[in-house]
Amino acid sequence: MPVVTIERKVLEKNDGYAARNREALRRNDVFSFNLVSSPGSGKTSLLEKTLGQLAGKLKVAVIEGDIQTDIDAQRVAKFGVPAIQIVTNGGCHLDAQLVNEAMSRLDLSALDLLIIENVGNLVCPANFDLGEAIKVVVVSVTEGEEKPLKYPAMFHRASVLIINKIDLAPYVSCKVQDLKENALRINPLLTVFETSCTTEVGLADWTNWLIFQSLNFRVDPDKRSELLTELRPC
Amino acid sequence: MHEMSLARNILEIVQSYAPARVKSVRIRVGALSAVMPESLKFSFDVIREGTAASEAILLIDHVPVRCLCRKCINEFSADTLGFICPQCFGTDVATLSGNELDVVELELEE
Repeated sequence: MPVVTIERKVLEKNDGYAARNREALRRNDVFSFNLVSSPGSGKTSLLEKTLGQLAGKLKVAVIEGDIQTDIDAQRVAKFGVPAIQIVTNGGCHLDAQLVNEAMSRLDLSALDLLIIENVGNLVCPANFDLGEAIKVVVVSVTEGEEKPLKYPAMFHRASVLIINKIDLAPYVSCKVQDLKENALRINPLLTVFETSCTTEVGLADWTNWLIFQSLNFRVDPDKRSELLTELRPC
Repeated sequence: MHEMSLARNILEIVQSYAPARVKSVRIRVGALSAVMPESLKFSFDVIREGTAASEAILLIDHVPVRCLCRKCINEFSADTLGFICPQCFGTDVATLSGNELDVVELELEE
């Protein structure tokens, strides 16, 4: 029987679009992150708080991925930032082609930061590179300490872990330290933030880090110093 | 169920090679690729209908996660301590394998 050797990536088409997206973001000095978590971890609330704190500091746009409805894009648009909704109609993840189409509707040259909120799912989005600079994974304390061990692929590929709803930890007997240690076993290089959108604890640490990363992403040192001057009061 | 979109990608790649009937498709799946083999096989069986691969079997080679500690050059499996070196507890660790998701080869009918 003739055997043909192929050696091609299953996701080569997606990865091609991801490379194009990454190149466009790089060319325009736009830092970006892909926000991933299971449903109900508080991604959109965290996003709202983040946008509130970044107002006047960074020029942000949001791409929202949901299986149905544009509720999230409406929530985000209230902050006066460009928000593009992708409805996947049952699809359990965003892919780079969908993001490419959404990005074509944004003026990248006017942005500092692009936030892509993925469909709530800790499994499927792990495979699909969207062209983002980093993945940020959110886990809420109500989900339990073992989450990183149960979904290692996502935690392994993420650069940042946000442990959300931290104010609820005492009520759900979540050992935050164990949760953190489990995540660091899967990915020792994770940068970890602990946040609550109710008490607002930890949010400033997260958004300051984000501002720093976004400015650092810029290649033009003049622009960087100009922005840092503007930001000095915070 | 992203296995369905993965199966579609596999079929697209297979079809670009195969005017002839395809007997089997060998793929490589790393343990970190978040793929359920049974679900992928099922998805492939559903979408292969009516194509040159309509009777093709999906053969899956599983690849375990292997790591290399950049500090003490120890090669280890991620099964025990995760991505921390069990020899020196270093955290500067390279992933050598486990992320694979490749179409490797096709077996064609004569």
